[in-house]
Amino acid sequence: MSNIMYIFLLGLCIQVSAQSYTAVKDIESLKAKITATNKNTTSIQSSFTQEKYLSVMTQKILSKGFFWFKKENAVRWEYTEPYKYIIVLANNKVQIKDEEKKSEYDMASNKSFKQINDMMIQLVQGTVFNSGMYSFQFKENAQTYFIELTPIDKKLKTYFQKINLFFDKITFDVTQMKMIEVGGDYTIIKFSNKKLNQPIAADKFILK
Amino acid sequence: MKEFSGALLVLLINCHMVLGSIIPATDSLAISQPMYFSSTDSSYLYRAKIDAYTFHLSGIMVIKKLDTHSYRCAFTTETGFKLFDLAIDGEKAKVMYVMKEMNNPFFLKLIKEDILLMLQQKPNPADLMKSKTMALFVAADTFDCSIAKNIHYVKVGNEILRIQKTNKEHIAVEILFEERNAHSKSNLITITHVNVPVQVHLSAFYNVLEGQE
Repeated sequence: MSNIMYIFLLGLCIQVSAQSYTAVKDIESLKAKITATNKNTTSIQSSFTQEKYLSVMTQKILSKGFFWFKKENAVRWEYTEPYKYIIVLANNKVQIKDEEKKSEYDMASNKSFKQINDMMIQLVQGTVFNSGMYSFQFKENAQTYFIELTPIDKKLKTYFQKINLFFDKITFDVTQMKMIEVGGDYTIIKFSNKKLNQPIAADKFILK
Repeated sequence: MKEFSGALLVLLINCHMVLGSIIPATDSLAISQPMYFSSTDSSYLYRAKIDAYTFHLSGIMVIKKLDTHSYRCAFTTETGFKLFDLAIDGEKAKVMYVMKEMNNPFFLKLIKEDILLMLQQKPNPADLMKSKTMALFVAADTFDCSIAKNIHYVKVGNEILRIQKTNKEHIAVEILFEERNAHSKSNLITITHVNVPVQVHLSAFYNVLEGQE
């Protein structure tokens, strides 16, 4: 296939894909439903896959693991493949277990870490609407609400070009998020086997 | 072999070995090809740990060969945030991106020099000399010990075992290539700065989907 034909078909695919989402008509109603769902969510347990796209690579870097969230702001990301790595953000501390090596940092001493952590919690909880840090575009197709966040916060703008959140149309919870860096590289995190409001032991957020 | 390499490393670090006389390299040394990072078909993925003084950093290092002399080297956290991205062209490395928090001139200089040294596996044959002193430390009939400018190459056949950069006749930086496989890949690479507490560990991993090697 000639390059010109390939580019044409690629462009067509992108157009069709873009056309599959249309603007949400009742934005306030959607925001209210997502906010109500979040208010009723006390915990989340989920599997996740992380896809990292770098412009220098021909293929994505794929990793897998488990995610735990407990209100108000305890988070555990546990990577199980292709390497073992756990990061826990709770009680204003960052705990990391890299293979067998454990380390701990004070989150207050690293404002960037805290800001990114706050952002991740807001994204997963869907509580970003009132943060004042983004402008929003609301779109939908038959199964999904797609919310495009553009950072307006000065510091966030240095990290991200855009952040896309995908919400399930029935449950109103986040199924996928895509974080696009300033240079165009991006990370997609997809959640699956999600369990809401199940009890999570406190020691899940303490690395031993 | 591993024990021997380890013992030699300890010897080299402890003794600050003085490097001495050199003689012109044989043709077999001069025509050697670069061993590692030689494929343009796929990217090389490593878990990376960088320890520099009290600073510790871990993440994923991606090295992609673009053509004969150029590479890209990107470093991301395990959670996906890109920290820096270098474009390497011949003996020059240019910072294409660095996260604000990582934008430290000392750190960037160090990492650029280490990556350049690691990728410098094919010196100009005209510069290549055979190192007599190195040959005293390893079995001369088994290893090729050659030097180009201030960089030593210790090889078995066409396989580079280590690269050593010298400064005023002392070893300053040493790169060990271990767990070499049949696909011209070293699965374990250690970069050690002899005179300062700086060490970089690279451990290859395979992509979950592609089963990349």
